[in-house]
Amino acid sequence: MRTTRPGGPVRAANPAGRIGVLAVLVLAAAYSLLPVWWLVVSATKGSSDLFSSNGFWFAGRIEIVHNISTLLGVQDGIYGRWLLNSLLYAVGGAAAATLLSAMAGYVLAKYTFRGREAVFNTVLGAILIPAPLFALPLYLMFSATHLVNTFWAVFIPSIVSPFGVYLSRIYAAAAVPDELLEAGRIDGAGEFRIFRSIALRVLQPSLVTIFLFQFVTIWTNYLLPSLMLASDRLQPVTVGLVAWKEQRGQTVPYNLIITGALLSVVPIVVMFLLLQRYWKAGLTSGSVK
Amino acid sequence: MKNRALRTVTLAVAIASLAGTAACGSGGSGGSADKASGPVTIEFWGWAPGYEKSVELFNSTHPGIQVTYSKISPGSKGGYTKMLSAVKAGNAPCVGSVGFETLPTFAAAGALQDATAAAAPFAKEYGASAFAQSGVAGHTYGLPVDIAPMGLIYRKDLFAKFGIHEAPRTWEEYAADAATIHAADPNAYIGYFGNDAYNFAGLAQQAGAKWFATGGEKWSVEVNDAATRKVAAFWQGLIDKKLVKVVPSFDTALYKGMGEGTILSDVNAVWDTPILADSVKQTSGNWAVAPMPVWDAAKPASGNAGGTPNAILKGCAHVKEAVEFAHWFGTDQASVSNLIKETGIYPAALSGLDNPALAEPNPFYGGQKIFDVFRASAAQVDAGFQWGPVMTKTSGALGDGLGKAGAGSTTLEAALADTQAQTVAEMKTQGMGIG
Repeated sequence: MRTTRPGGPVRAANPAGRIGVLAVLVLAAAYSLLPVWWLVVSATKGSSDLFSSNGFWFAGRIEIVHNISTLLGVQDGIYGRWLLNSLLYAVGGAAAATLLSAMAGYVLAKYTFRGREAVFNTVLGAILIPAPLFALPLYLMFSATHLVNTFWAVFIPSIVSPFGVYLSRIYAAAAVPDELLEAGRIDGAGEFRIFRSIALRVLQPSLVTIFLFQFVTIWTNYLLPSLMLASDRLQPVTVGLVAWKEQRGQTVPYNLIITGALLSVVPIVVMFLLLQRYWKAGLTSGSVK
Repeated sequence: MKNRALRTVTLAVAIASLAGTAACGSGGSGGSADKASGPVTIEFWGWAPGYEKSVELFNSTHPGIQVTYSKISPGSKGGYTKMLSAVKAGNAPCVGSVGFETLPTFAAAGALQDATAAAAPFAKEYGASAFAQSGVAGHTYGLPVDIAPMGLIYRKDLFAKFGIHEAPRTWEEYAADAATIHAADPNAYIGYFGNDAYNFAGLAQQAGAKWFATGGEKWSVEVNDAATRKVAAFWQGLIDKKLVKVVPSFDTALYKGMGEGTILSDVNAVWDTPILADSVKQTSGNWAVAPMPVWDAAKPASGNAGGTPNAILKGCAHVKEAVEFAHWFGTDQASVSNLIKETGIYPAALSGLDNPALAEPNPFYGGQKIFDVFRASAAQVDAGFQWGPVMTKTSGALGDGLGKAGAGSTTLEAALADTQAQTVAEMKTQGMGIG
């Protein structure tokens, strides 16, 4: 983007319009941040304060440390197990999905073969179908192969990301020049070596994006694991929290469930903070060239 | 060159499928062991806390039948979908927790195993309503664990403060007390109008509503029958006069109001008593439980909102053993004590009503033996009430309508008509006969 005035950044022509835009943005920010704020505040309350005090402000003693330690001890520490399961599904699944997407996208972008467009269009079509629609057919398939109620029942569907393939192809087509590959071939590198040592490096920003998207998708997935898993030792944290919530505070008090919900968001936040450097760099790197 | 790339992809696919096969070998634990002699193995899916302990008890006392319990997602949150798809896939458990309200839906979907013969000898050990609701149209599909008779949970101290020294016995008195309370303090309400469809169903049931019935192959649907319309008109009157607070059921706003003393009572099922006790701890000792107000003091009736049988699912190879387990689960003293303590059930078994755990004074309710009230209530629940075959649709439409009527954008009467229409339409879509 170019600035028209030498002295300063682009300015909207109409100040009233600017205030309007600002107001909408502030509203949007408040709309998305208020529930988070409620969650943070509520997680600090004891169970008697939870319903009797202002939902958006702290009350009485800050009980969050006590809440967390109680939460981790409840039902033989099942919550920690759930968190671990979620991490396993999400980190492992997202990593595998990223690699597979990168390979598929790269192949679709850089090799011409018969049926390439058909494959790509099928993948594109798959993006349009909401993932929950796949849950039931997958269940029936996995039942037939006796994979139901195993780690693999949740893991295998997680390593597929049509959106990732799509993104990789677009990115690979734009960011990996054919000359680079030719140079590699002239130097005698095999196709897989070229992919691994050249293409993957160039593709890195898109890989981070795919990883993040897939991580969040797996982390927040509910229907698939709730269908596939019968044992609560295998469940991810989403399924576990909903089960607690549905018991309406009878076994695990509401304030602990809320603390659990807060803790379950932390890994996503951490992931974003860790990866945003690469991510942002990737999104803007193409624009200045 | 291209071939080599292709080969790499092929290799990756091969590795992935190998991993799959390996998992198949190590993880496929279900349903292969029970063919040999040895004990019969029965699978059981449920989600309520404390169920696993009763299963352990059963296994330790029944060497011939071993039950494997799996804790799945709660029914409305995917558990029922899971059971239905497991039936379809042919690997359903023998026994599953299926609430009274959902059992006919399962029956209509062909997901239940007829256990009429095996269950018949046990019928007399349960309350008539509970046993009847564990089946549809003369077929029994399971045995009940718990029931949910309703009562009036109220702030005794604040009622007294407003000059009401006895809980309202009739709905007429309830409305009069509502006016008294609201007149004395504009911020205070006798109770609230929520959006819980099953709670409303309990109120309708008390008034004598018969929403669904089966005759031969046909269903009759009358969600907006005269009795239900009477209930609707009553609450519509209270809403219009702003004598009850409109809040969503089980919402933080509700418990906030109850904790602050602006919402003074709740007409709800027995399982609500521990929830309330946990939600508004700071008001402990000030609450009490009374029978729910009735329409006709000469002919007291009560409602039921909840309750769950252990249902026998389609494809169960050991129906007799499954029924034996289901019956033991809800009647054995040790199991019932555990379920009362851990799950907070109100037993469906007649013998369970004598359980000492039910006779304990409850400090939150001012030392009252609250189960005495619910025992009387349970005896007054109409055994003829039948749930419908598309309850997800029915309760969704009704809950939606209740919310909108509370907010004033529709009336309860219109909401009932809409629920009726949506239910009938859904049943027709599913090809059910309506007579």
